[in-house]
Amino acid sequence: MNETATQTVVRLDRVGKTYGSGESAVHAVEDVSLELEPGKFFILMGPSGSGKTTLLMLMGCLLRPTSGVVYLFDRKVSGLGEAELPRVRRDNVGFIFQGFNLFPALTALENVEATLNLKGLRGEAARAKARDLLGHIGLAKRLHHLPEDLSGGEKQRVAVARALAGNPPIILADEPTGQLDSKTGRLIVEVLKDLAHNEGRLIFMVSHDTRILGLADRIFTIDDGHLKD
Amino acid sequence: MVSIARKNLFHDKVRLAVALAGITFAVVLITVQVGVYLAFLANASVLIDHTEADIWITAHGLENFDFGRAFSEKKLYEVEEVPGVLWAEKYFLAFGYWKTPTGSQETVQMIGFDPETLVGAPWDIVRGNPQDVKYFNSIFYDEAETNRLGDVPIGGETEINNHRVRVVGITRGAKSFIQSPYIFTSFKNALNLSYVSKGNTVYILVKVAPGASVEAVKQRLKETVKDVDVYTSREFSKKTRDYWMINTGTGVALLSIALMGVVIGTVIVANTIYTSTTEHLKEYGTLKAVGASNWHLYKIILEQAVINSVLGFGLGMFVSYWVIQVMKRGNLQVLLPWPILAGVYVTTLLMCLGSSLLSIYKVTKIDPALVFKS
Ligand SMILES: Nc1ncnc2c1ncn2[C@@H]1O[C@H](COP(=O)(O)OP(=O)(O)OP(=O)(O)O)[C@@H](O)[C@H]1O
Ligand SMILES: [Mg+2]
Repeated sequence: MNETATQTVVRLDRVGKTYGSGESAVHAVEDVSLELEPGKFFILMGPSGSGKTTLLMLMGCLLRPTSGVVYLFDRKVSGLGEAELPRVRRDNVGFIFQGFNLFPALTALENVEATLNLKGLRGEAARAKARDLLGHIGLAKRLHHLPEDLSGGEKQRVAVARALAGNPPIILADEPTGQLDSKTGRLIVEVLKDLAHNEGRLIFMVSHDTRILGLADRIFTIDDGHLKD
Repeated sequence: MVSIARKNLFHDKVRLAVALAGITFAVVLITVQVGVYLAFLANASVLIDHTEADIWITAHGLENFDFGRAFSEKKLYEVEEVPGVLWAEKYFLAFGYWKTPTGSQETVQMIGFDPETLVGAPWDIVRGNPQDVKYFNSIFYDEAETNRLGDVPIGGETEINNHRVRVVGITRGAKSFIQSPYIFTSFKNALNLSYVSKGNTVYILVKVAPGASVEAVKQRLKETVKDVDVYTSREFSKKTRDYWMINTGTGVALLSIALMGVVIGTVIVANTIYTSTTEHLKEYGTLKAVGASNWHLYKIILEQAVINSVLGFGLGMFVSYWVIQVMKRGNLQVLLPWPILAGVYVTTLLMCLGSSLLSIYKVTKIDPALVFKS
């Protein structure tokens, strides 16, 4: 890859997050520095309670660090206020969760469409885009199903389509395969890997599954809040 | 645009039904109680409001129209002498006992007016000519009172205070539902039928000459005529309504039932909206994670409240209509002008919006970590 074209999308500089204070303080993430480039598929591993989700939330601007600085595209976002953060997330980040988090009352299409609406796309354009996103991920025949009528793998694919709504350069996924069998899980991971390699997105995924490590461009491990390559 | 609010609301039909039942209940209670209250209010002063007098002169210390007390009719001459008085008329009111066709007794209020001038005569006549009350013991009664007085036809006879009376006409809208039925007859007949001694009147009605100030004439009457109270029609009307509404506690009773409807409705709606919000907290959190502002989430919750209020109000109006029909058959009046119905809707809307406050607070406080829990 051309060196000059490589730009850092996410940069953490000595970032720490402590929950609570005094006796009950939990140092969930300590002194983490890293730089992540676009077009790469990253996997983060670590034992339960080691700080994976916390790190993901810091990168996704859902949490503000108690120390250090978070940069997105060289912009310092860790100092932004509650009023600006939603906008930063909206323009930059898509999330995928272990529990899918789809609106049970909305069909697959509507779940994606609602997110597009939120990101400023309206009416027929939003509908067409949602159909497009779901079609790309192989759900063209499931557009009008409610989440309860979809399999786990299908639900997670809807969630992937939703994460892609608004075309965010960063996708953060927290154990997206946690509720799927290994075969379905692997398919989802392959989809994510392709999103990185073919579309140039930065994919950062938390996983426990050692069998998929081979798909990653780079693997991080975290233990007790400390990050290792 | 995908309306998350609408989809959410109609997805859980049982919850929607509970919320709508709560709102409908509240709307019906408010509508019916306020309607009865207004009818009650208008009704309490119905005779005063339909009489063309500008000023009412009453015995001293009178509390309201229905408790009229007699005083000497000689005051009439003093009243007529006061400058600015165009005319003054005697007007009679006394209780009597009406014998129903079944033989039981019903208390009535006999109104006596002058059949020549027709001042204080019934204003809405179903049958008969009000001038006919000039004949001996001839009376009118209201069509709405047949269930209390019995269906005595025109030309039929019955007794008041053991005197034979003859029905010569039927009125409409001269019904007191606080007090006993009103019977209209001539001043002279009413006085004869009553136990009030001759030479007395109960009210003197005054019309002010064109160009003269009602307030000024009232002041002059107050100074000139002793041992009486002088009110403008509007004052006397209000005094009478206030008496029934405030002194008797009737208004408070009616309105507190309406208020209870609002409270119960709010509790039910707040509860269902809150449970729904709590159940969808993770999805709201997800919207927040992908960039929704708090305001965006508030809009979803408020839209649910508005939809609830519209549907609940519609259902409430439908049910109220039938409740009111039944009440009218039971002879209870209900008065619901459009502005009041608009007010009921606004109350419903506020109730639904108020019910959302707790939910709004809840989504404001969503912990971002929630969305990552499986
Ligand atoms: N809101 C919070 N308040 C206090 N402590 C917290 C909070 N959230 C997380 N923690 C603690 O911080 C540590 C890291 O939590 P985190 O959720 O980041 O771990 P994780 O690696 O994602 O775990 P898992 O694999 O179980 O999801 C844990 O000890 C956890 O108990
Ligand atoms: Mg976690």
